[in-house]
Amino acid sequence: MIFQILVIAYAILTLANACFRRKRFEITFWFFASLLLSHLGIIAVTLFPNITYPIAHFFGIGRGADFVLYTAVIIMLRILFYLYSQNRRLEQQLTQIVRHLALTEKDAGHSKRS
Amino acid sequence: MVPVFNEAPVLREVIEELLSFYPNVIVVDDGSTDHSLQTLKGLPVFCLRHLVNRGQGATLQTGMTFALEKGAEILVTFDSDGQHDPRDIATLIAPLQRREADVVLGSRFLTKKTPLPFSRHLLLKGAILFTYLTTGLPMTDTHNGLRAFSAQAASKIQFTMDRMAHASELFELLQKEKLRYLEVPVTIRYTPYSLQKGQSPWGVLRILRSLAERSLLK
Repeated sequence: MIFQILVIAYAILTLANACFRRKRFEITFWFFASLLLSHLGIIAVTLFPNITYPIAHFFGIGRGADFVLYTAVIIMLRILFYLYSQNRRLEQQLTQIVRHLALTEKDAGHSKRS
Repeated sequence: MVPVFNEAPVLREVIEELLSFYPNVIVVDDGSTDHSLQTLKGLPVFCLRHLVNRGQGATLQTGMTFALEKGAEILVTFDSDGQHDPRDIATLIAPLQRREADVVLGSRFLTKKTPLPFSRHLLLKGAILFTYLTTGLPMTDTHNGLRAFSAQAASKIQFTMDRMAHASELFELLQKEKLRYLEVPVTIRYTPYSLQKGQSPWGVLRILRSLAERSLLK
């Protein structure tokens, strides 16, 4: 019971924070929508764990909790992969900027003095 | 072309020795925090500076781009920690001048002159095996900073691996761009300073991680 209360409290706080940030246009609509859907899902599954059973059964997984866990792991890995690729892209862009600055610095192309 | 990162104690000596053999030296400082470039005051070298540290691969690419813009016909990369001997450069560029190769790579394992510490030996042999397994190229030294490129070859090489993994990326680029390459014997001067600055086992793990990330995120 304590765990359920904590999870629901966390989800509500996250949603409140998301609404606040969306109101100030700090997050995009799609990010807000995905936060809203995922956290409403978390609340629903926490309050009514049995609703996952038919889906779990459909996928051939015995327990609803296992289905939630497997799905969460897959989503987390996907997010991790996405963040890695974004980070790599940003690193490459940073290198391009640093290189451009090095090559266009006042003395770089004209002087042989250090 | 000399990539530099925090080499203030030895940099001036290394560059002065290099200048006594070759007049056109490009020094690319990769965001050093020890004011390495200031030690070169008064020396007739081209100095470029990365505002923040981007790694050796990125630094070499900056130097290569600059050298090509300046009209260089042959580009030589030379480490800044004093481990290379400028006398080896003549051996390195000779095959390029005879148009026998597009890229010439220095190898410490083709000569008996280099007394190699055991741990370093093991590390480098591991890198050679890794290169063979991933590219099929039978190289004898994969992480030697002394290399020479024809301008044509350098213009085809674009390092995307910013850090030390560029050394492995080079072999993939050699294959991809169908560049002719050769290895020639060069000596490495191991000093307490250069050994301290060299790759650690953790550095090797970082290289493997970079390569794995690149393969996954291609």
